[in-house]
Amino acid sequence: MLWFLIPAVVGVVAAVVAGSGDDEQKKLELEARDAQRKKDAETKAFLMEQARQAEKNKRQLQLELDATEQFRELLRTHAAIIDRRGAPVERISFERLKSFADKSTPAHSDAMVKYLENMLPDVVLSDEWQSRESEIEDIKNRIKFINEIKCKLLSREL
Amino acid sequence: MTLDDCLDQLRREYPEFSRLYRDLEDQKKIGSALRIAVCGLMNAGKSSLLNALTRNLENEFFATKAVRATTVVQTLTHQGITYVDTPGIDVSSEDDEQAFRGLANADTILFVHNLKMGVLEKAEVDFLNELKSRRPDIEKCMLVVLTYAESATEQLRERVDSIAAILAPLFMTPRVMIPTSFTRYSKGIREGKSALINASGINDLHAHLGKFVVRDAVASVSPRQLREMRMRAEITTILDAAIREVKCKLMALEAEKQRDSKSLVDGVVRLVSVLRERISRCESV
Repeated sequence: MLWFLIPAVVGVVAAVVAGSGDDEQKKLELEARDAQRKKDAETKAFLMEQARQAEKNKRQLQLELDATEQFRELLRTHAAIIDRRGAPVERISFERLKSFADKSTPAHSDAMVKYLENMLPDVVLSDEWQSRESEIEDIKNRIKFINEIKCKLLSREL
Repeated sequence: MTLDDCLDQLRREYPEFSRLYRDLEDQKKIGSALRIAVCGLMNAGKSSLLNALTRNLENEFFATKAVRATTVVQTLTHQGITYVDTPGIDVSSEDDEQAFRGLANADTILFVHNLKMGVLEKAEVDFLNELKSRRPDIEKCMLVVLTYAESATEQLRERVDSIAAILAPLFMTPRVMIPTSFTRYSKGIREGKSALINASGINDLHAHLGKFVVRDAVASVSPRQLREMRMRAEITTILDAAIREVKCKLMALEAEKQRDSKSLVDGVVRLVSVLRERISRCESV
């Protein structure tokens, strides 16, 4: 007696089955789109990172070249103070520059030479500087001896 | 540098120090005997005078010649007194310096002038001026001995007055001037004639020198000590000037060092500052 319902049920079931297949499809599509978006984002991020790294490397390289030239210039402009006996200034790496810049800068020439040794190995105070140092030492000794002679004269030891 | 190096340097750079230091060293070596030194032009009769004072008439301890006989300082100690003969002045600067060295530590200086030459020559006056600057005490210890008095018997008074007039501007008090004649003295000794000996002036000179001996003996601080004190004070003044000069040089060198040091420190600080800035920019990319 309910035979008349059979087509309707079948219709409904078929409709339900058909409806369920569409959702799955949509879901799959969505997932695929998400994956693609993610992949695109990752690719974009990768490319951006690559570009950033390239830019950073470029800047570091330029900094190394510029800083090396500045150290050469420092040696030239302060030839009366520091000297490397003509040794060339090789390119200084970014890491060494960073390590150098991280240290505190000394306030006196002697300590400054030691500080500069980090960047300019074998750097020393120039001959001119050392000759003046030895002249200063001689003068101090001379003053000491003249005073000694004076004391001896006054105490009649001489 | 050692103390000796410093002394050598001072001697080279300060001739006055060199001279005073040498005179001071000489003074330590001369012993305690009274020291009488003669000075004057070549052939003024210095050596003959000393031979007469030391009774060395025959053997001439101090050589006398018409040519330049005395080229170095010669000394002879006779009866407790050391007599010093010096090279004649105005022959060469070396001889003059030797003469000044011989006079530097004399307790009594006999400035000898030959009356045959008339009044004082310019060279003699210049020498006396220099001697006065080196020995400010000559006011008290210098006698003028006029030799060859026999050559100017007639004009003696007049010559002595003229010489006194020339010397007057150089000294605060008139100089004692004693005319002497070695010829009379040696003849008097040879022939035993006391009148000739007395007329030679040598005994007068002995008497004056005796006064100097007594004066120095009773002085609480001997002229020699005073002279030494003066030399030490003069050397000290020179040393003070040397110290001032050397300190100025030291200050200039230290200022230069300071300037260079600051230039290096400033240069590096600037470089590091730029470096830090650029490292920071690199790392912020």
